[in-house]
Amino acid sequence: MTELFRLLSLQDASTRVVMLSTACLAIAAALAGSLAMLRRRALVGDAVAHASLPGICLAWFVAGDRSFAMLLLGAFVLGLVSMGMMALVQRLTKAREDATTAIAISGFFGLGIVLSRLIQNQPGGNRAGLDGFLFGKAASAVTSDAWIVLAVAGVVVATILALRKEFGLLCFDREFAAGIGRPVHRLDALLLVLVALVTVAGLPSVGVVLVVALLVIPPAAARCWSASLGTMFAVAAAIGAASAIIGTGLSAVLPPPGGASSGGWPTGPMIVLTAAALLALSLMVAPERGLLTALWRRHRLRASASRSIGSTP
Amino acid sequence: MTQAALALHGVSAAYRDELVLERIEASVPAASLCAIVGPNGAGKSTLIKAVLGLVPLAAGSVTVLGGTIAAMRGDVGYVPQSESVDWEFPISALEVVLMGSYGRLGLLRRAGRAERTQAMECLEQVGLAAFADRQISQLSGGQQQRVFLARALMQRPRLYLMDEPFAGVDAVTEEAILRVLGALRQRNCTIVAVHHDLSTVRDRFDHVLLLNKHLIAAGPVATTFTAEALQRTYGGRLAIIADAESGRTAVAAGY
Amino acid sequence: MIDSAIVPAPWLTSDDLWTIATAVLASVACGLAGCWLVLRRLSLLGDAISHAVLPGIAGAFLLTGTRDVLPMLLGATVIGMVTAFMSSALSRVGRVDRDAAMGATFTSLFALGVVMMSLAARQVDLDPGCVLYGLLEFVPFDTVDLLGVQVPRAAAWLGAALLVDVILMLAFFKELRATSFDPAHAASLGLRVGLVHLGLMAAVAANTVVAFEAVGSILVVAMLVAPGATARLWTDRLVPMLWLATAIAAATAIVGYLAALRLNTSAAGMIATISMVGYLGSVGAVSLRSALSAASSRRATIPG
Repeated sequence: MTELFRLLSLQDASTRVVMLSTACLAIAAALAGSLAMLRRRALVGDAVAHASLPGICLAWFVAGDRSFAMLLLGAFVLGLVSMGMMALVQRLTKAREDATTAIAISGFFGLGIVLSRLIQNQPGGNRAGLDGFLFGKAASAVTSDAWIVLAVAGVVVATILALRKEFGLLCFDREFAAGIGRPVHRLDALLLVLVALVTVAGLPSVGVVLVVALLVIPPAAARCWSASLGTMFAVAAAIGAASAIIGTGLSAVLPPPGGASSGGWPTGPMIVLTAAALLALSLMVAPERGLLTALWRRHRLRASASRSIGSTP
Repeated sequence: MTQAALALHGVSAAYRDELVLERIEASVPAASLCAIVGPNGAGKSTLIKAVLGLVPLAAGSVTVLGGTIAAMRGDVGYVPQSESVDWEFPISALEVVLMGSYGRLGLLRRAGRAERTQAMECLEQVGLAAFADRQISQLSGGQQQRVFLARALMQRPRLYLMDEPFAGVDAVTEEAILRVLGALRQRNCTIVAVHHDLSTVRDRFDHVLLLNKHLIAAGPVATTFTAEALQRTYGGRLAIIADAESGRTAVAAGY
Repeated sequence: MIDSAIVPAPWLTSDDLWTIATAVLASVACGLAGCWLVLRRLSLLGDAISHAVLPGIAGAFLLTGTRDVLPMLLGATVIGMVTAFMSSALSRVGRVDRDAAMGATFTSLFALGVVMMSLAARQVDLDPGCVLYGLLEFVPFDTVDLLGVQVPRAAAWLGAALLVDVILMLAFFKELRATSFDPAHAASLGLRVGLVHLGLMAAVAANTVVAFEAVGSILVVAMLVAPGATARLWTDRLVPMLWLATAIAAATAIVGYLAALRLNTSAAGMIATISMVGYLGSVGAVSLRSALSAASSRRATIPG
């Protein structure tokens, strides 16, 4: 209980920084994810996330140690490689984009597992550091790592807010944006780089498998509430930040589920579940199209149809 | 008067939770070529889908060839707008036409030699026998539209429901489709088509349904397709230039 | 030493052969069902379902306390269908496109599954990591008696799944084809478009679960999507595509396993890697071929 209090009152400096950085990252992801979703590229982040695993392994081979910044750099580079690969396939053939994405997701992840097993086989190689990247371990992150995440989140948010108008136009009507002379190709590329940045920065807290949830769930929930880009940004950011804080907090303070010896609550899944709960709420009660709202509307429609029949002479 | 091929009794239908058809009361006589005409959003496509049972009726009923659609489904052919078609699907023109036989084959039976021969004949009727082995996306837009007509022919129906069969096709295809429709009518088939080009309604059709959420008018083209009725269908958004000499109406619809 | 590198057989034990057989069965069963996912642009739904079945499996375990396949199959199939339903509800209500809706659904369910597994952590050897990359190497150690022969349990289940897949596909071939190509027209013929979709989802979910334990969720995605997508690059015909996908699925499993054996690394990871390499290679070869034929036809039109 005292621990809960310490956490919530943010007395502990390192907890404060970790939580702050995770929340800021969730905000950055919510903004980038909103744009990616409107550009119909919601799951590109998933491919980047899965491609980051071999990137981390390669960085381990190259750098030889587990320097946090090096590992993230490796993840980022391979994330860009996976994006380039998907774009190239799309340009060369009329192969289905969704199939290419799915193959990239599993193929790169498979490569990552192959490499991590090779690392494990090496003398002095242990996968403990790599395993943390699978499901995230935000609560145990160190302060210096948190500063890196915070910096990345700041850059992404600043870029998106600065280019808000251009990105909005790009998502809404790409042809028109090109027609009035906006550099649409470069904007598209920039958006992908931003997605890659937040994805990689989210790996330590949420993990490879679930980081895409930060990009997808808050924007999807926000979309239930609003059709305008500005409001959507605000709602998505709020949902993202709330999920990050509540999820991280829960995983830190809840007693370990399998007894003291077990690993405790995994941070990533707790953040994602919090976001999912907010999404479910949005789905139910959103104005206009919420499931409960729609049921009520349908009921009224049927009533009015039968009334109009009744009035026929 | 012969039995109506299609009769709508107080049909109301909704599209995406919004009533787009209200209390439509109309019938189409057998062996006629009937156009459904009306502005965008008037519920023309919804009407055809409602007849086919693809959109649930909010009220009313439909009689097709004297029975319910469920009973008469084998006698009704459908040429949809090609929006739901997957052009990249690995399928040849002949195989598309063969699908017309899937309804009567029923569960578990496969198309055999007899069906293939028949499908080839249908392709011949629309002038595409030479393209039987082409993948569907390798045909031109007009050719694709003719393949879908051949697929409807394959069903050997007595009533054809077509959603804009002339939309975006070239002159050759238009000619080919008109020829086939004429031949079908000779064989006492009924054709109901959504049609957008008001200037050609008089030439191609003998019956017309004017629709704008409600039924505005229905009947033979000569008496029903009047400037006054069109004005009511399209509201004020229509300029009609009557040509006294030819007796025809040239129309320009503004949106 | 050099000889054995050229002829792999001598250093393959019977355990290896059973593992390869299991991998091939999983690959072919998933590959055939996956062809229809690829054709219907539902590749990512395969990804989604393979992640989302986790809470179904974990839930079945928590309820029954055993690792019996049947309860897990049931739980995961139900969850698989829930995924398909929730994605479509989300894309309708939230006006988000299908990909985003699926992404939101499957990450939520996967997170739920991981948490449920942590709950069960005290009693089980279920490990989230194993869920991702499977236990292909341990397949031969869990056998059942089949007509007097000790067959790996996973191989028996996968063989049954493949048989059911083939029977269903032969029986409903024309329904699958018509509803995939033009659902609006198929519905007008009286074919049950929604029912076919639901059936396909159930089949994919069932396949996923059966393959899941052996090869893990990530590899299941590769096995579902890669054979069909690769085969589609080479042919414009449906039936040849299905045959080619079968061959590619089998070849990928064999090559992947042997490569993993040589490098002493994860077989599931290697098979997924080989799947992607095969796909990328095919993309390169096919686009090179079309570039060459375009060039030669240009040359032909220039009078010499």
